[in-house]
Formats: sequence, structure tokens, C-alpha cells
Amino acid sequence: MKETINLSIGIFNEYFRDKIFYFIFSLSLLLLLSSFILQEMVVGEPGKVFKDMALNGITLFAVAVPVFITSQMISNQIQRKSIYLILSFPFSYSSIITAHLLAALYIIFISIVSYGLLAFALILPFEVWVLPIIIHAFLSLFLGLLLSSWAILFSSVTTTTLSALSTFIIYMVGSTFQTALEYSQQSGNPMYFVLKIIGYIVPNTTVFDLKPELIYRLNFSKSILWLAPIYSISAAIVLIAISSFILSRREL
Amino acid sequence: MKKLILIPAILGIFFSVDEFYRIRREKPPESILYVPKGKYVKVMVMNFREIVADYLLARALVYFGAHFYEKAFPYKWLYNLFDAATTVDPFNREAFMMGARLLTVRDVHLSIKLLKKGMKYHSNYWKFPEMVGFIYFFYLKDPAKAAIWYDKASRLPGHPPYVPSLASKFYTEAGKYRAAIRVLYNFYITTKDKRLKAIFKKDIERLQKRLMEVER
Repeated sequence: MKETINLSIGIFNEYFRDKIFYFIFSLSLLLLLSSFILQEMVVGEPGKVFKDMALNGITLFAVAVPVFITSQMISNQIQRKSIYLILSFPFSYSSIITAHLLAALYIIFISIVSYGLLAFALILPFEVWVLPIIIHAFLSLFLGLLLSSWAILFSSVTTTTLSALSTFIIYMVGSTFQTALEYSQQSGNPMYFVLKIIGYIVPNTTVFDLKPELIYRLNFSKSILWLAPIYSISAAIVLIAISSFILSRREL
Repeated sequence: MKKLILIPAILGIFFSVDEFYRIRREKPPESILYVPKGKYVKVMVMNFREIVADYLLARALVYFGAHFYEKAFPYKWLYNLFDAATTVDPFNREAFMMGARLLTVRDVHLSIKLLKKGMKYHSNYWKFPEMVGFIYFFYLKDPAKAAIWYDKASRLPGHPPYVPSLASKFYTEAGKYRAAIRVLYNFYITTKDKRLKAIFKKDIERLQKRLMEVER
């Protein structure tokens, strides 16, 4: 386990210097700063724009890091042949995959924390809004873990571009699937049971999104706070197993 | 050993997904977070003002319709949406009319505000002052003010005969007989319809008799 963590720190250091990470960070900062202009240009409750931008920026990291960074990890290692270097050490395939996933998680964690602190400082003139940011950051971290697991899976079977695209598509499907499921249930469509079974496979990204509840201070089931991590970690374990199996069978 | 971890992981997915299905989430009170200010949108959309204004108008109508069956829904953003739509494209007269009609559900003063804004761009359109007059009479129970606005509408081209007739009726209700006669007389001398001339002449004579009775 210690070796896996050491390897993940090495991978993290490599990707933390990546230009794309700074691009995502600058984009989020721009998003946050644009709320000053947007606040002036729209009619709404004071501070609402800042709150929305704060929470959406956090989600942006949880989605953009898996799509643009994690999806490159394995496929880049294979393309650059640097995976041979790792394989020369006594690492199992699952350790390699886990180390990459952990590295992605470090990047997401650092980005979310630094962005969250900035967002908190910007909202401070309107109100002390700490707990909603913490709750959203916590859930977004697990959303990042879930999407990164999918990104790693795609990255171990296909090229960089295709895995980035697949990760984005799986996120889109996960975001809209619940609505489709609700509609099919309401309309009494016989496809509902088929969709429900597919629902166990497709990532349910909507549960990580409590933005309306946090912004409007609505009641929400507190069980989401422990169910979402269980879901995310369980899915990550299964996806790591599939990815390691695929990687072990690949002719590198 | 490693393979055994998969069993609780798969069970974890099934358990959490099943629980997610059970959780019922509250809907936010408003589907609209903010409304852009028309003056900024007008600059940003360049030559696509009409289409953006149509989108804003559609958004306003959907917003109204989506909450129509909710009891006493406050329609917090309805005026802002119509204001933005009519600022971006002030030449769409129907947008002002639609907005004014729908805003009566929220606050009739906002309807009047929107119609007065419309009058700045369409000073010769009789429907705007007529609608203001109607709001004063029907919602605010103020026939004196209603008469003034119907009077204004009766001086604009294209108005139907009921406009001066109602102006006169409301002036009479408010006890302003001279003003009531003036409105009817203005229509009487301008209309070429003989049937209408006869009707209005009768009304003028009736009001003149009443005025004489009151002044005695």
C-alpha cells in the first residue's frame, strides 16, 4: 500500500505541472471573477451569483480534471512507453491503476480546496457561507473519484482523445439518466424496469449535486452525505478491478 | 483476497443506487435564478436582438405557465423577464400587451409600469392607454383615472368606438360631465359612420341634460 501511495505521489507531481491543470484553474478563477460583472448585469438576490459561481466552479473541477487529466493518465503512459518503467518494479496492475486514481484524487482535492477558499472569501461580504461550500466540496470530491474511475477505465482501453470524450459522454449520460428514469416511471413506460437495471451501471451523478438545496436552503436527506461516498468508493473499486483486468490482458 | 473486495463493492453499488431511488428531493421554489438586465443584453446580442427578445419572451411565458396552477405563486421574476424582453426589442408591441395582462396576476402597478414603458416607444398605439384605463377601472376601482386613460386612448388613431364611449361613461361615474361630453363630441365630429353618429348624438344630448340638472 505504501508503495502505491509513493507511486501516486510521483504521478501527482508529474501531472500537477501539466499545463491543462493550470488552464482549468485559470478558467475557474475567471468564472469566479466573472461573477462580479454578472452580478451587475442581472437582476437577482444579492450574493446569489457568487454562490452559484462558487458551487459550479467546484463542480467544474470535479468534472474537468477527470475529463482532461485523468483520461490521459494510462493511455499517455502506454503511448510514451513509460509504463514499462513502472512495470519493471514489483507493482500489480491494480496498484498501478489505484495509484493513478489516487493521483487524480489529489489534484481534485487540492483544486477544490483552493477554489473553495477563494469562493468563501468572495461570498464573505454577503454572508458567512461555509457549510454549503464544505458539503458541496465533499460531494464533488466523490463525484471526481467516480468520474476519474471511469476515465481510468477508458484510458486503459483506448486513446487519450477518445477516453476524454468517453468520460465526458458518461458524465452527460449520468446527469440526464435520472431525468429519463423519472419520466419513464411517470409515463408508466414498460422500459422503466430495463432503465432501472441500466441505472446500476450508469454513474448516477445527480446525487452529488445538492446545489439547489444548498443555495435555497431546502431540506435534503442527510443520508446522501454517506450514501454518495459509499456509491462512489464501491464503483471505484469495481472499475479499478475491470481496468486492471483489461490492462493485464493488453499486449503492451 | 483482492477479489473478495469486489463483493461488498458490488453490494455497495446496489444498496446505494436503491437508496437513491427512495430519496425524494424537494424542488427549488424558483426555476429562475436571475434575469439579465435588458440594457446589457441589448448591447451584447448585437444584431440578434429580435431572436434574443423572443427567447426572453418565451422564457417569461414558460415561467408563467409552469407555476399557473400553484396557489398564490409570487412570480418574483415575471416583470424582470418582460422588462428585459421589451428592452432588447421594444418594437414588439405584443410583448408589452402580453406582459401587462400576465402581470395583473402579480401586481397591477407593474402592468401599468410596463404599459407606460411601451407608450414611450409607441406613442400612437391606442391599446396601451386603453389597457391602463381598464386596469384602473377593473382592478383598482378608480373610474376617474380610468376615464383619463380611456380619454387618451380615444385621441389616438385606430381606436374602436367603445373607447370614447367608456371614457365618457367613467367620466360620468366620476361626476365629470363636461369631460364626458367632450370625449363623445370629439368622436362624434371625427367619425363618418352615420349609425354611430346617431348613437353618440343621443348620448351627448342625454349628458347635456344631466349637466344642466346638476348645475341648477
